[in-house]
Amino acid sequence: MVYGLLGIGIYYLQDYLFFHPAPLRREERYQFTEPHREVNIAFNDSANINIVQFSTAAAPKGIVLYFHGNRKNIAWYARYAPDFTRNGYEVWMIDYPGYGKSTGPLTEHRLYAYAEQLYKMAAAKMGKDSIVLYGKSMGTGIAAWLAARKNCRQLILETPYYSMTSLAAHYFPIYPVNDMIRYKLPSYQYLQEVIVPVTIIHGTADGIIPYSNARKLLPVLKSTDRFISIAGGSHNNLSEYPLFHQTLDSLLAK
Amino acid sequence: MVLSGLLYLLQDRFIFKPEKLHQDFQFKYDIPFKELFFDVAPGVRINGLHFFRQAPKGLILYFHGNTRSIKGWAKYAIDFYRYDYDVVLVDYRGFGKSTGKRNEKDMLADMQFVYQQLVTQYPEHHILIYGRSLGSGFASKIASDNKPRYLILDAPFYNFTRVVERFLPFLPVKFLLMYKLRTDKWLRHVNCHTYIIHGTRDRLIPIKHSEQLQKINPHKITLIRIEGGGHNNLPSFPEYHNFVRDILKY
Repeated sequence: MVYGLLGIGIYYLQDYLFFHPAPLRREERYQFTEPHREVNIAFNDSANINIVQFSTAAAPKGIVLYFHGNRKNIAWYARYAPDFTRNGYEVWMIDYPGYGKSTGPLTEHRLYAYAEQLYKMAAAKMGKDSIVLYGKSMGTGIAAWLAARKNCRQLILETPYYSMTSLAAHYFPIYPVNDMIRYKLPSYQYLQEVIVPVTIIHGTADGIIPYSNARKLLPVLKSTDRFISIAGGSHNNLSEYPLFHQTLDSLLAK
Repeated sequence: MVLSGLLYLLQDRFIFKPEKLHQDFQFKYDIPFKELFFDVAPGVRINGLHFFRQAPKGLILYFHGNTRSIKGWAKYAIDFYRYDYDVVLVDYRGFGKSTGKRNEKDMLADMQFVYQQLVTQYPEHHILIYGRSLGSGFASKIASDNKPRYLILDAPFYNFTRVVERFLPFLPVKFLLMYKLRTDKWLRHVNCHTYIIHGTRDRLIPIKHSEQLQKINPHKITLIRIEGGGHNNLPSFPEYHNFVRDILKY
């Protein structure tokens, strides 16, 4: 009885469990100190995709497409933009449907479709081997999906999961999550298809996406890919560790 | 004259750079594996590593280059393992935990022994033979005497004599060298399709070797050039992984 009720609860509330968007009105102005440009593209008649492009002082080496986590919106993640811009890369952040100024139904299919739009925009501006795909937390599955299909320079995953389903199974071990959760985001499948260099950065004390869940990705990484473990790092504090920045800097130096 | 004598006596040392491992050495990897031992002859034991999947699509038998041991070469297993393939790597005599005195004939026989054991575990048309650098010679020989699915040669030589002649043009290498590894001869008898992958900037074994191998049987040998690739860095090129994926995802 309790099991059933909880199960029904998980099913209907999965959006609330996995996604924590903070919508913004279209007219609101972002208050970023970093130089940037805001772009809105119409996905269709009713859905908007909001993108913020943080620019570099000199001509950029390339573009980082940043797929953020499940919290709030771009305004929350903008703090990480300097990690890329100071390395000479523009960073373009996208909001998922229902996040910030992006609208539309929040489905796995839409997550991918919006990502593809972002990629097309970048590919129109720069060579494909100047495009770096970056995923953080929930965004790692989207970045991996894109890297499996499109050319790019490299893929960087900060605190990734094996699949969204496996993560749900970790939280609700006694439920048949495979059938209940509408979001699969099977990164392990996508990573099999990726031929460009992949770097994973994960904290050993991650309480949201367990370190062990990310380690399950090892069998699909290539011999030249790297898994950087940050000893003691948790889910939202990797940027406090020097190793995190050293890794990013060396990846973006090339 | 003196040089010739030295080459003759010390050739084994110039050619092979093994890393020896203690028999108690424990291998450690992130993916499931077991150790294999092949008792080929009295005093000759070939050691191997077998990386296995639950439901493999096939097997890659990997013949490594002339240095180190399977301990380090095993890191390349993942490039095939990720496509749901089992991988077996073996050490030649005197490498890693493998024992026995080296000579070409016996080393080839060792590898044939290994192959025959593996054929009992996998359908032969699901076995791919992969030879890297020096290992390309062994791979070609085994492929010519059996019926694997494909033969893959990574930075191979036309034959081993040519590699050495290039570095010692003033010596009668042909007569001094005990290892011939006639890939050019064996490839004529390989019945499966052969894929050759070679970097265009390989300075140890120039891509010319592979171009000439390809001419032996143009319809059955495909040469894939990795632009800018050297002798030891092909896996750092996306084109390399693209090639592996195309072959394994049939």
